[in-house]
Amino acid sequence: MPSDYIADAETVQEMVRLLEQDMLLTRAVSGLLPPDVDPVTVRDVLDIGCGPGGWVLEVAKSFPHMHVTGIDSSELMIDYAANRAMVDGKANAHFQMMNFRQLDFPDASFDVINARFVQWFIPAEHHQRIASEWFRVLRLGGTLRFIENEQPVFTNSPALELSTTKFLTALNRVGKTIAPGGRQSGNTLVLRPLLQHLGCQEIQETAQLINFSFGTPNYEAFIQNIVHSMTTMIPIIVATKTMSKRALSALEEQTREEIRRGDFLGLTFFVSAWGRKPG
Amino acid sequence: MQEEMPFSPPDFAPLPLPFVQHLLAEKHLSPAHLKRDFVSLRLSIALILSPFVQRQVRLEQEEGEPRKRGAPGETQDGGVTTGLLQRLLTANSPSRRPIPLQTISAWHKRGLLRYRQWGNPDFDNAAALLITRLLHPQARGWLPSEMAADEPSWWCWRQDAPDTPVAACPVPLPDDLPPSSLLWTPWSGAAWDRSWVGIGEWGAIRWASTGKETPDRRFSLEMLARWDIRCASLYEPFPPMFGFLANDANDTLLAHLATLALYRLASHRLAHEDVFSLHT
Repeated sequence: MPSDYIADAETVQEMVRLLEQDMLLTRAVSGLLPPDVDPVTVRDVLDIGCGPGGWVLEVAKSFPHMHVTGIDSSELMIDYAANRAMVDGKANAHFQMMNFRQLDFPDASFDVINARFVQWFIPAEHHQRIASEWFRVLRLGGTLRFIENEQPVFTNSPALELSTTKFLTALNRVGKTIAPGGRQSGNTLVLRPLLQHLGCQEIQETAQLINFSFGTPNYEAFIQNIVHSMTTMIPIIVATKTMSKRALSALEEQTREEIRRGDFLGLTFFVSAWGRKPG
Repeated sequence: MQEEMPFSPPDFAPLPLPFVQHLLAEKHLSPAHLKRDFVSLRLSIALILSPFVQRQVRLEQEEGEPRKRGAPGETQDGGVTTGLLQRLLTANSPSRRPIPLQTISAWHKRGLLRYRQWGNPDFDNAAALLITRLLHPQARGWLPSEMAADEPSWWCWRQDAPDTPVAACPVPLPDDLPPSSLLWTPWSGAAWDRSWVGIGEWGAIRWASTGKETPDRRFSLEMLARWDIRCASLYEPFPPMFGFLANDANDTLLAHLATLALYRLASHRLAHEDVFSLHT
């Protein structure tokens, strides 16, 4: 199945990074559903780019009356998530391999659609068209929610800052960042305009700050994620001639060293934005 | 054994010895490279395979006995299948070229791929193949040519008593191990077999007798006292009441204390910074 994904989602390094990210996000971003959504009125939920299925399984567990579906373009991720659902006995959690550009669902199938970290995969010029397809399967009065992280992170590690900047430059060169010059991803900037374009009402945004400095509860999980990210992002940085493989290896080493220091500081934030389909 | 080899086989669990020897025999793969990458790769593979293994175990429990149907490569309601292994190996090989079923079949004939049952690779062996694939940089020649049928699947650490030396021990375990021998491994996937107690990402630990108890090979309070006098001192047997019911409760109490002792013993053997004792 063709994929817009920026890395090979089925390599072990990327699978582990996605598993860690899934756990981190589900733990760090408070509230499984947007705060103004009454769970009692929700029957069908869709998670777009569900990865290993952490969010789907949490929702299925917390709200047994809901029918929760996760889709992803990676067969291995879908298999992984489906096995977890079977082991956990979550009969109301379902996983399907599907390209999010063209959903294989009838119109108005879902009350809530959740899309986390999907802006990374979508070329900037296709944001509106793809989001319209998601909007098609949302019921009248239903809620579409995006959760995105902004890059680069705020840090006192020069090597980590340079690594993320190089990554953003590479993404910018393949048209996958919205901010000019490749110094920021711009992922969090596009959420409100996107919801407005779709015709959503009652659009809301919240931000959540995550401190992953040395010694904080998020530290270990975040730096593991950084280390795995660096490995999986090498191909795109090299392919776009943003940096040579040799220079990148040296930068990776330096980053690993700096993020392990006792004085390491790191801060990032997530933006959650959602809106209601009129009706 | 350790005098003859430049490494300790239990450090490389769940890799069988021929896999480790093959990796180290490659000129471009130094012991330092292995040492750096092996531990995190082992953890990654355990994390990825875990839900598939749990599903497989559940399927076998539901059916009451190992399934006989299906063929290599066929997906059977999830679990650890040949198809899953094939896809993971393909996605993680340098060439990304699909691995044909004939190759899988040839590995099986040469003893490199072991099956739990028809269509379902052995969990530890599947993990070993994946780790080896990830460690070896070449598209071809990443496996040894063959492996004997009686070659141990992997090696763990063994200590027969607190004052005896630590030694390498093959898995599957020898039948003549003393019931009170302590066994441990940094391979967390060992705990997929319920005889092992998983200690998070640090590894797994067990008594030799677990799951293999017979009337003459029982784990006793005296054995527990030799390993952990504090745990043993917590044993207060239930008074005789209805005979065998009291014995059941006492056995359960002893088993729980023996497990508690495993956690305490694991903290010295597994949970420290450098679990890797590779000789470089």
